[in-house]
Amino acid sequence: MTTIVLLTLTGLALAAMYFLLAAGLALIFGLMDVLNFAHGAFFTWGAYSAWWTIGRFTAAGSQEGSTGGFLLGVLVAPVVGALLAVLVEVVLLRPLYKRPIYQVLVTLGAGLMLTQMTSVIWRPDARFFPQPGWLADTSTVLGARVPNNRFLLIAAALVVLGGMLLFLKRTRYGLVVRAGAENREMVRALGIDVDRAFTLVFALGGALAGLGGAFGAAYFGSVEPTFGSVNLIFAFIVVVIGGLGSVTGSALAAVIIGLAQQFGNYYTTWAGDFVVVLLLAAVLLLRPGGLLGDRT
Amino acid sequence: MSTPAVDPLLRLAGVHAYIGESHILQGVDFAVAPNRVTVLLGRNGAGKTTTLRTILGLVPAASGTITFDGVEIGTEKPHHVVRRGVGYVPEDRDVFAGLTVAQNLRLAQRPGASRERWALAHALFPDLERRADQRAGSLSGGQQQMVAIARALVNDNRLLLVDEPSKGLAPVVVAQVTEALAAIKGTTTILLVEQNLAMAQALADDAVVLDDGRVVYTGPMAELAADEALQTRYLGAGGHATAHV
Repeated sequence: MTTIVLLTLTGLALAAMYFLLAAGLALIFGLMDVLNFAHGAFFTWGAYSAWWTIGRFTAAGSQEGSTGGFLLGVLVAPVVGALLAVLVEVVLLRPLYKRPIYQVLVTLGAGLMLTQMTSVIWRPDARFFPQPGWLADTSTVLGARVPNNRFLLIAAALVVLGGMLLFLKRTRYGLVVRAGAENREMVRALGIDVDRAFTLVFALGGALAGLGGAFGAAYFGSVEPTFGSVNLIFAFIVVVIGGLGSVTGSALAAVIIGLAQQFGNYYTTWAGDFVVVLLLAAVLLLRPGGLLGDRT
Repeated sequence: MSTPAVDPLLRLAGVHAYIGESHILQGVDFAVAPNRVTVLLGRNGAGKTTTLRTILGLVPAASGTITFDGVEIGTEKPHHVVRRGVGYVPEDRDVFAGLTVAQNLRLAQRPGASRERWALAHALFPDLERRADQRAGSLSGGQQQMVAIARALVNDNRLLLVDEPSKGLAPVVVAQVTEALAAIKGTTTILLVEQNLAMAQALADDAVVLDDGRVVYTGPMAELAADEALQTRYLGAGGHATAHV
């Protein structure tokens, strides 16, 4: 029972991290039809910027970060993610909106370049991510000792999910995003500056990826340059299984993938990723539009 | 145009436009007088819809000028043109199926639009109030057309570009749509593309006929409607009053 509880909560925390990364991808694809391969780099930069910020508030040689430094890092990470996203959208993508293949190439290139930059600036090897003591500590749930950062990650994802649903359903920009996903030209014909909406959505996606990077670094306890690209693969799988463009679908798919990976890896030591690929294949065959998507 | 002594609200001069490699508008010239209804007629493929989309900026004008209220708008982006007070009702309605009726209208309403316009749209189409929380995708074709027109009415637009509002609708709905457009006639300028001659006659003051991307007739609608020879020459209608022109 203890193991089940631990695996479930850890799987949900992993799901929360995937969701933070996938939500932005889903949003960007939903409105803009852009498969953003640079998204993993926003995640990596979020992780590194949080790590760097925390490092400013951590005593030399100490393994424990301060609460203030961590909170500041969690604030800085989405800002860095959003700024990079805006840069990529405005400078690289905007001239290519009518050329989808070029978009894939340019985001792939930007992702590789941004990832490589982290190697150059902070060395290619993994760096320890100092956390406040209370975050690295464990809490006991039904006999299972679960690291507190798992709970924080789950809580952050729930807040983000709730915020995104409110944004999409209650705000004018949310309506623009939903309408733009259906018929971009008609949104233009209503007098709405779709380019500005694109930039906003990209910034929001980048911010979520950056936030995911900060919490993901706490989850894994370290940061490294390939951090984003490795997790981006699973985030894409989450987006496809959830339904392209569906934020709720991404949340549901992230839970399925996170739990499947945790349980698969624990009970077979090798099958976690294999189960994920099997799930992806099953969804593509049986429900090509994804669990909650209406697009094939 | 025979009617206006006043300055036109909209003027197209030598407008050329392409869709892909196809040269659709080949030097279109006409003017639309303020607070009147001008109908744009022509055979299928004559360039009527492209004319509306070019005015709005959805199709770029390759050359020529488009002047709205004395300002050149031919090079402006669609959202700038719309914010000058131009509303658009597209040919296929293009309501946002996943949004409710109320959300479709809220999205369309620009900041600063008057409450009176919102009230007017709902007064003309009372059904929309009752269906405010219904998804637009689940509405009938006629109800979707009402949403499409209401989206243009909720703003203080000075010019409405209305593309085939009767297309595919039952006669009773066509009558309701005609009534709604007639209600705003005189206070809003309308450039209407319409194949239904009865509707065009009921609404239009002036007519412009396009053929192969060029204007071949401008004049009073009454003159065109009364002259079967003109209709046959420009529209191929054969003088049948109820035929689609």
